[in-house]
Amino acid sequence: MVDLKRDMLTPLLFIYGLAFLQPLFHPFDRKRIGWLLALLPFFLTLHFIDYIEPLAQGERPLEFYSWVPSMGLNLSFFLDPLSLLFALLITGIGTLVLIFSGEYLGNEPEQTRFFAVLLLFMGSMLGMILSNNLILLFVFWELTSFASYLLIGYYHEKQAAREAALQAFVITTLGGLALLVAVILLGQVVGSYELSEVLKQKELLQASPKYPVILTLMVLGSFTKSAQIPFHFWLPSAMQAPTPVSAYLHSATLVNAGVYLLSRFAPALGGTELWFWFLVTAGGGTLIYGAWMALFQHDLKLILAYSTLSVLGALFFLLGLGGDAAIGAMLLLLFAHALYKAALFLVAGVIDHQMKTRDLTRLAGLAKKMPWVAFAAALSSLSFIGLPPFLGFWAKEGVYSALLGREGGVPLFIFIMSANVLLVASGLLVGFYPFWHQFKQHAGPRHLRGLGFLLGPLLLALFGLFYGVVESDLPQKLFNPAGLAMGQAGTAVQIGHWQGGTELFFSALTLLLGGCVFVWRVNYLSFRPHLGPLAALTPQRLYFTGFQYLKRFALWLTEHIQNGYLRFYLFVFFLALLLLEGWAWLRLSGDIQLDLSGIRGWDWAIAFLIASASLATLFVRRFLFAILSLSVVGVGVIFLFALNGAPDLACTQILVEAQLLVLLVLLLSKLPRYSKVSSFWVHLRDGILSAAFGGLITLILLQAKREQHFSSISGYFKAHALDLGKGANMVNVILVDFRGLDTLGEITVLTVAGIGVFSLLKLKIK
Amino acid sequence: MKEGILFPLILPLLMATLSLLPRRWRFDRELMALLGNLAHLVFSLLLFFQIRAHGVQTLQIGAWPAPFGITLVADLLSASMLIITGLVGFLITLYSLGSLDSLRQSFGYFPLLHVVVFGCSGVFVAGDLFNLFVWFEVILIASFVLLTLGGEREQIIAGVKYVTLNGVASTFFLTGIGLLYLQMGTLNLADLFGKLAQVPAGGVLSLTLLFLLITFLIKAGSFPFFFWLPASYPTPPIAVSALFAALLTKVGVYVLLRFFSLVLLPSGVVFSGLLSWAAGLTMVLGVLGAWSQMDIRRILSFHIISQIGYMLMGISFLSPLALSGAIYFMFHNITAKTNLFLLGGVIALLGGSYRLEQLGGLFRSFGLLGTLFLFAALSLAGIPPLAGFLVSSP
Amino acid sequence: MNNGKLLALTAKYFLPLLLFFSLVVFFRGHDQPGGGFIGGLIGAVACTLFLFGYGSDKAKSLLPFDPRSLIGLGLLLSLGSALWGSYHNQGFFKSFWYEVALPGLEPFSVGTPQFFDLGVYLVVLGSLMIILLSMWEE
Repeated sequence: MVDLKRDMLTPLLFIYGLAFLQPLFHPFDRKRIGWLLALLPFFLTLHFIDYIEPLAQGERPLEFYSWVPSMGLNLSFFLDPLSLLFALLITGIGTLVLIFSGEYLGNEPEQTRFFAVLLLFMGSMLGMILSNNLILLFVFWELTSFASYLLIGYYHEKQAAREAALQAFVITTLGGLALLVAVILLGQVVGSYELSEVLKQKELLQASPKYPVILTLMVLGSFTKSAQIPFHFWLPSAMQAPTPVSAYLHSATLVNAGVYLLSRFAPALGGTELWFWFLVTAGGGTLIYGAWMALFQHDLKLILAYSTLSVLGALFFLLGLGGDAAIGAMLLLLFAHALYKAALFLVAGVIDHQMKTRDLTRLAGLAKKMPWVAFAAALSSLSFIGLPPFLGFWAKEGVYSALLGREGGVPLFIFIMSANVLLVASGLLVGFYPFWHQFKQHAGPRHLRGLGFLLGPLLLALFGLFYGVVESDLPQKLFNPAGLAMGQAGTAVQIGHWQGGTELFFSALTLLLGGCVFVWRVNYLSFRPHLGPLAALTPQRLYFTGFQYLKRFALWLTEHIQNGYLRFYLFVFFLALLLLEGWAWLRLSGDIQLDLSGIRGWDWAIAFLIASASLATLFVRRFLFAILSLSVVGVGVIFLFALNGAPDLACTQILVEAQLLVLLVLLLSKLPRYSKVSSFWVHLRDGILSAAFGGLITLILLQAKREQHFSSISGYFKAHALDLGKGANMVNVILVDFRGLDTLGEITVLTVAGIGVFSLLKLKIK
Repeated sequence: MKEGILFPLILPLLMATLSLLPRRWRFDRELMALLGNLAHLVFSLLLFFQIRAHGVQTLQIGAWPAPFGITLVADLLSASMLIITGLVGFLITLYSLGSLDSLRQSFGYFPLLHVVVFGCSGVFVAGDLFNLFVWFEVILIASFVLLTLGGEREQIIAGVKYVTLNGVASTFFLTGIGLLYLQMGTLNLADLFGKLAQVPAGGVLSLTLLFLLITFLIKAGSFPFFFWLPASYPTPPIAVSALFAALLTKVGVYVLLRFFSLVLLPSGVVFSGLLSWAAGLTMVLGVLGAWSQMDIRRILSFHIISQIGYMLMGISFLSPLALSGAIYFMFHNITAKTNLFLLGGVIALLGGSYRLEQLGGLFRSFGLLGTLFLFAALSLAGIPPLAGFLVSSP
Repeated sequence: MNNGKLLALTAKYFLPLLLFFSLVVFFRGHDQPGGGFIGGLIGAVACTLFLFGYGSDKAKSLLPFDPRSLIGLGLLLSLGSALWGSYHNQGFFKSFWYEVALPGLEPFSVGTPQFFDLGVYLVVLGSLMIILLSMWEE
């Protein structure tokens, strides 16, 4: 029996298996397919919950299979509290999202594909956080990008969806490449691709000259995945995806992959100046940018997307700061955010599904139509804005206390608080505005039915409330061990314990100011800030322009290289050979001199004959003459053979020439008129090239004659043609005995040539 | 199995020969093609296990001693190449039986297929440079006829380019062989391996070896010699394109691999820098080419080029790990590319049929994106070997 | 048409002569210049002459098989003589020589390489004929 307690590969195989097998279930129950599929992640959630206790006590299950050992690729998995935190989010939220998706997609014929990719994503994301092998981690990392690409482009008949999908894919794949190089460098420095080995080598890594490169590439990988400035723009575009996808991938799991990656490597790579500046600047920038942009959107999903950006920025910001308090706050914020943001996305999904719009200006009074949804939205939104006693509040408390408790943390605190003020306003805008303003107005075509729609948002929202109110052992069992796993002495995560007056005061202030901004925003709903000419310089625009130019360049280049002219191809062939040989010649050591002593008078005569006949071919004006002068070249070759003691070859050549002549004459009547196709200069160019080529061969040949290192094996043939080969004609013995296999090959060639000409002339399709 | 090497080599020729016999003497052409390729696969597998059990297998043709007679050698790499050739041959035969028009079938399609397999098998077991040349010629003529079989206008144009450029390659090859024989007195690869190590580096020998290198680069479809590939692959029936995509360039890559380890390394003349440049440019231009095209077959053709670049890059690093990466990538590429071409054929077929119009519609609306998505999948699968390459780079 | 008649006449008388010559060249090939390649080429020249004189239908009836089968037989013969060694467990392409004593002739030796060469002869002849015939008919 499989010991599930130790088994991490099995869950992955189950998920992937389900992804492939789930099309079989659809015919039975299309309506409740989401519920059916959700059973697996549900049980997996329970499975991982079972791990909380042993892991908190310090157990570290490992699982190892050798796969491609020569490349350092092993199927090696491990589980620690940090991965567990992510695993719970992936499977738990995954369960709810699957149920929701079943309802959301209804009976769409393509839902099979949707579920397949969603499960593929779930498996890969889980695989990534469970990997104990760097290369395996990378493979799963890329698979999640790939799944994300397919899911964003799910509505593939929409141009915008396709573009958004491609954009996200290009950006994340570029990051993926950076990650790959980082992984390889890590492996080189440490000498192992096993994550658990790498993480132990902090001193070695940080002392290595490759450290800055590794860190930069690693950060690049995680910034692209987690949409940090300047790679942030793919995330808002990705809102083209079906809403359950946005809830699952683009708020709760996929975009956290970058956070996971850097958290995972924090014990080995973190704590340096470079680390601090990378994360704090990009994280801080994204934090404020996202919060600002979120405020001015009309589309519910875009508000959520920008606020997600902002929170992701905050996570990196805290990670960059480091220290027990900051890390603890980060983990709690991550957890709380995943819950409330997924819930709010699902709410947006319900609204979109029911009202066919997500535009704030067109939504009103929904609380009456869908009270339970409004309830869930309100709860999540309260957690979002950080009202006590919701989980989000404790997260914000943690952040504030981490910053205030830090030396010189006050400017940072002011910065993060101002971002939070903006976020409070967006939270209210999403969670309350569409439901409660103009409460009297009856909007919406039909009443909401379907538990599947409600379960997700409600459960997630209630979780956020429950864990904020009830005194649980979550901090001790989950967050503190995770902090330990990240190399901290523990975390100062506090849930349900008032931190102290200062933090509380600032929380209240944040809420108050946020409320003011909200009121202002509601009164000026149509206002949008404009960038003006700066708009052309946004990364989004740069990406698009760059993409366009690159594509045009590719087409231009390809059309010029693969231009369809055989004579150009031939020219390149000979020119390249000539240049390369010339280059190699220049590198030659040793003396080079022309030794013409072995050449006899008639050799010169024949050479002259061949050369002048070839030259004549260029100047004749009729095919017949061209053929004849080529025959003269053939005659020259015959003489060469005859004079150098190869009568067999001479005979063969005579007969071949004769047959060739017959064939060409047969063809003559079919040929078009002899016409001039190229100019004098082209002729001259080709002539020079040909002459240079011939000259080169001659020179090499003459030189090679001087550098004969070993005697030829032909001596053996001469010696043994008669006694072993039983033939006095050595050429024939070579052909039919010594090297009979070559002859066998050559007569095959002849055969095919015969069949070929026959088929070519007899079979004409079209 | 004393002459285990022989079966995968001779069987295709025997099949081709039998299908040329007078009509009343021969068996059903299609059955023979199917069984012949299957048998090729089986014998290649047997050879593989034989090598696994007893080490490298060699065979002296006509029982003539080593540097004088022709040597056939098969190690695990050769056997693996034979297996994959057999597999590809068998699958393409199956596919052709279903998809190819009966006219082409009756005009020597299957014998030609056998001859291509014959030539490729020869390359994979050749232990002698001139013998290698003969196999190249066998492949060239058979693939040329397959390319033009049917006589459609584009086929003829493509065929002329293909055969001219590859004919030039043959000339280069023969020149190189002649020069090498002049200087070394032998063409047996094992013999060369021993003798080259005794020759001081830096002589005119390097020019000779460059001729051979360029020949193999042409055969592999590397920059700046890849013109023949996109010019020819998209024109014949898709089964032929798939066959070409699977075997032709890979034969070149395989020979390059052998050439580097058996000839260039012992001679001390290592053009690895040159090869890296060629490989890099091949990768980039291949990708750009693929990107700029709209026809599936042309996209796939350019994409082959870029992947050839990866393989060459692996070879140019000259480390065992990189070589194993290149080999792994080669196998992956053979299977994946054949598959893609055949799939392309299926898609094209379905797109035109009413029965599965929905699928056709799906593809149409997905268009280029759908194809790109396949590529993405491929590059993903191709990335682990890439890792192998980079590991070995300094 | 005078020209054509002359050609036909020449072909008619030269054909047996040339064919005989080609066989002689083939048979003596193992010891003196000649052999399958050259013999086959001369045979093809003979047939070409006949083709030019009498046209393709008559030329086709000249051969016992159609050229395609001629090639097949040639290949089979070559392959068979190469496999003869394998069959006798002496190795692929291993040559075997047999003393033949026919009544009225001196005893002479015949070997598998000569059968191989005969295969070459047939393939060369067949291939060239198939090429010439299809071009002629075109």
